[in-house]
Amino acid sequence: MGLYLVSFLAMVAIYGLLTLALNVQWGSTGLFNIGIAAFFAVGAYTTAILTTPPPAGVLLATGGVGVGGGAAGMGVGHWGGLGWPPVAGIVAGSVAAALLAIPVGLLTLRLRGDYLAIATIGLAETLRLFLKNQTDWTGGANGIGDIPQFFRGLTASGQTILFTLVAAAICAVAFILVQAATRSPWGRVLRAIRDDEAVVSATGKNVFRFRLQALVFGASIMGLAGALYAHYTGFISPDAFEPMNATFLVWVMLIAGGSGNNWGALLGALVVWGIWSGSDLLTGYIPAAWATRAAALRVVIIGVLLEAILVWRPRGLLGEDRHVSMWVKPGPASAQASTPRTSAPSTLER
Amino acid sequence: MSTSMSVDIAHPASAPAVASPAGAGASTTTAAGLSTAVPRSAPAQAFISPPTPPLLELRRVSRSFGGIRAVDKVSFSVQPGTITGLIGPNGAGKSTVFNLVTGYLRPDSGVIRLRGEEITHLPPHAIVRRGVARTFQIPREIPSLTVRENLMLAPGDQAGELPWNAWFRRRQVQAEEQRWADRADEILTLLQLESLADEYAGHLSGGQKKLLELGRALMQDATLILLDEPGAGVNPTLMHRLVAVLMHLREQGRTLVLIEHDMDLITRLCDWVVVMDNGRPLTEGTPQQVQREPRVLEAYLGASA
Repeated sequence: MGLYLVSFLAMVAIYGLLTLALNVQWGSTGLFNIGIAAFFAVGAYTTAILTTPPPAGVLLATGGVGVGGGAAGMGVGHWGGLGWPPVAGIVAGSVAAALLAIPVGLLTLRLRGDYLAIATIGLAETLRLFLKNQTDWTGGANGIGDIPQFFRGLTASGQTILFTLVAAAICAVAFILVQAATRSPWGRVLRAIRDDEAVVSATGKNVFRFRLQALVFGASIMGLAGALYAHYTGFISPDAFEPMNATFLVWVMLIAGGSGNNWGALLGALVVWGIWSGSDLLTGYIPAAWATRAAALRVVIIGVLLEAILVWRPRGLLGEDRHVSMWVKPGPASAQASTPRTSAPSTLER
Repeated sequence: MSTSMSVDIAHPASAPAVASPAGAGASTTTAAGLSTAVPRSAPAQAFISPPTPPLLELRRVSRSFGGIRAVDKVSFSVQPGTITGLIGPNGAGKSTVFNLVTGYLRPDSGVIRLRGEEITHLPPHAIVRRGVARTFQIPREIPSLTVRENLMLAPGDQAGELPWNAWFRRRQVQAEEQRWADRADEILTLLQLESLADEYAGHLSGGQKKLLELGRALMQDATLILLDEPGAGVNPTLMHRLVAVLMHLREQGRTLVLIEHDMDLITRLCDWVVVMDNGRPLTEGTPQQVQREPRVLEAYLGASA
């Protein structure tokens, strides 16, 4: 049970990253990204291709080219197998997702919000089908296995514990970066764009550039989450990037936790993953004949939860703070404002 | 740091002195003084116009929506340091002219120049960055930002608008934020919105939002300020304050163009008036000249009577 809790927290950290990233895009900026799975998958597949060990027998051939895999002799293989260290793979996964976001943003961010939604869900589904069908590059439906774990020579439980610590640390760093960026003038511009971009233009700011920054920054965190996920499970396949798990669950987490609030994003990941994985655990105790129906019921539970939140607590568990900038002290405007304020908050949280 | 800022931007702390806080009686004398000052500024304009190009120049600018010619070959220019009124009946195309000048709409034909440089096809943010501020006729606040942060949004080139500065140059971001917060508080005090600083801007009344629009323009270090009916919905007491603020802006050498229906306000404030009707320029001149024009009386004043 203790180990279950640890692995539970590992997934909370991964989903926490996704929810934080969505909060940058949607909560702060109003970018309707319903293709989270695409950026998540790109991060996972990038690190899988880079860090998996070179296939047996073609050790010498794979050197720098990268295309090798076991495709020649073994029927199913994939690109890469470069044996990079996992740390490099994770960085590359994050960068790859960010690079994917740039053309998506360039093509769609000038259009109205709904177009981004259509484009991102289309991208995610296209990518998933591509991963499934381009068998010799990605392993197809069989996926990619043998993705190395972070630490060698440990027991399985040791691996899980250490991984969870690393994932939690990465999530914490991401949280600090997101929090510092969104509770600053940058975040203020993003919230203003969310409300009325014409006003932001009237203050001389390039709305498109800020939107692109938010999309790419969010995508890089989504890619990071995907790469962590790949190293956590050691095996990825297109099924892991179904819209249900990889996109809509993240949306429910953000809305439940409190869109626009980074603490809320993490809380939502914890609560919703608790309900999601907890209900999965329960299906183990019911008769097999009912188990398949229970899986569908799980989706219903999440859907009802979402409805309930939207009706009774539309701002989520933790609503958005009315003040954006962490540097601004609330209080009525003082007439003698010309005297500089001496004390100012120095901590991240006001 | 706030002293260095007051050099660049209208310092509202000194504006109440212009308004002479004694009360409404004092303000009207200021206004009377201004209307007599109109002939004084006219020769100054004549002196300036040959060597210096106009700050803003429109030449045969047109824009249609479907079959409607909202703006039809409009030409006029705005001299630096003046207040120009843009008047005309509803639907005359005044707000469309503002949208064309600030890049929110693109003209079908014609040329718009700022300081002699063509800005006709620039996007709004690029025009604003060249020193133009505008307000909207129907106030457009950011409803989910506080009143104070609505103002703090306005200044350009804030270091904290880049995430990496928010991460790695926190000291600078903090210093700027304090500076702009102080500046915002000064303007809120000037506009008598100080008690609402932490309120969501979406909760303000129509008149208060109108003042917030003006406040946003004041936060920007603009040389040309376009105000679309700044006095609409503002109560009479605040109106005196508003007039004082606008006059103070001109004293600082800023150039204002305002759309206004209140002829009294136009007469008190404006050095020059451009009259539009049905998308076309009807006439232009000093407020006194324009008011005597039979065509203006017919098109505008006659229509409203």
